[in-house]
Amino acid sequence: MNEEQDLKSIEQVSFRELMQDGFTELLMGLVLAAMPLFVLRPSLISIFVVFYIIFLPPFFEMIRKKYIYPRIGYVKMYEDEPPRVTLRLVAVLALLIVSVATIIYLVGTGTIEEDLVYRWIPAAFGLIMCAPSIYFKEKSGQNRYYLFGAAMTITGVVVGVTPVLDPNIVSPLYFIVWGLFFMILGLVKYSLFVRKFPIVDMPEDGRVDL
Amino acid sequence: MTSEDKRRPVKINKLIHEPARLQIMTQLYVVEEADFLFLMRRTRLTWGNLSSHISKLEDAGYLEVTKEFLGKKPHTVLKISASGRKALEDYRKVINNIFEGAPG
Repeated sequence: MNEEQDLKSIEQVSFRELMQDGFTELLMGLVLAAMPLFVLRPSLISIFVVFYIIFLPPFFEMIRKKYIYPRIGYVKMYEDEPPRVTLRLVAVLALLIVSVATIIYLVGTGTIEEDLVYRWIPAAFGLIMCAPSIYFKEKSGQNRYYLFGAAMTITGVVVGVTPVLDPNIVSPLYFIVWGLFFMILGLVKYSLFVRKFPIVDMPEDGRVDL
Repeated sequence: MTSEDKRRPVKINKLIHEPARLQIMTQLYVVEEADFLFLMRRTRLTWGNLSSHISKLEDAGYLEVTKEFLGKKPHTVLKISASGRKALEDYRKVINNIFEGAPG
């Protein structure tokens, strides 16, 4: 038996335990559904930071304490180490910054149409979503996590290559539809979770007499 | 491993070698912390059994036990200590050495 592999599988099972309440999908859905607002009105990004990054995660943690941990117990995974600053990472980031700056410049000078950018935002976002897709697959060991990155990229490309669709409508719609999909998925997972795991009544209140 | 080493009896950490305690230790090795209920579900041990094994591991200094309150209910959070982590890693080395070069 490869014990490294075995420890990895224990870690993946623990991660899956943490993910089965559907809260991650719900949070992701809320972020996606609000995305068009931040793309169309970049000034609202501060609301995004305050509400989604600062306020929402502690709120969900509070809900978890009340409704999730009494059912399956509490577990905290190790936080991932930040990626090492390598030449490759710097090169990728530089390429990304140059690409974005070039697009902004070309749109500003009228060389490329704004519509074209809007049209391809969903495909670019789909590609970005492949990163969390791979991350969740690695952490959980479940191949199904590849699906959402692939599906978001494919639908994004479909939006980009379909000329009859108005990008000003279809791009925001892309985010709203995916947002709703994840919110519904999260709610379904939560309701199944609640049914599957009743609150465990521990007369000892989980206290260990040490 | 030298021939001298091979003649010595193998020293296995019996505290960790016990299957239930090994399960608890490996589970806590891969997570930052977990509570009693989570460990009960993962190890499939009863409350009393788990409690007794945790007491032994805590007495050896392998686990850090924190008690807090979730609402009005006491809540026990367990974490592997630095010495517990080292003990499990040493145990792993010893077991690996035993099977090193074994056929199959």
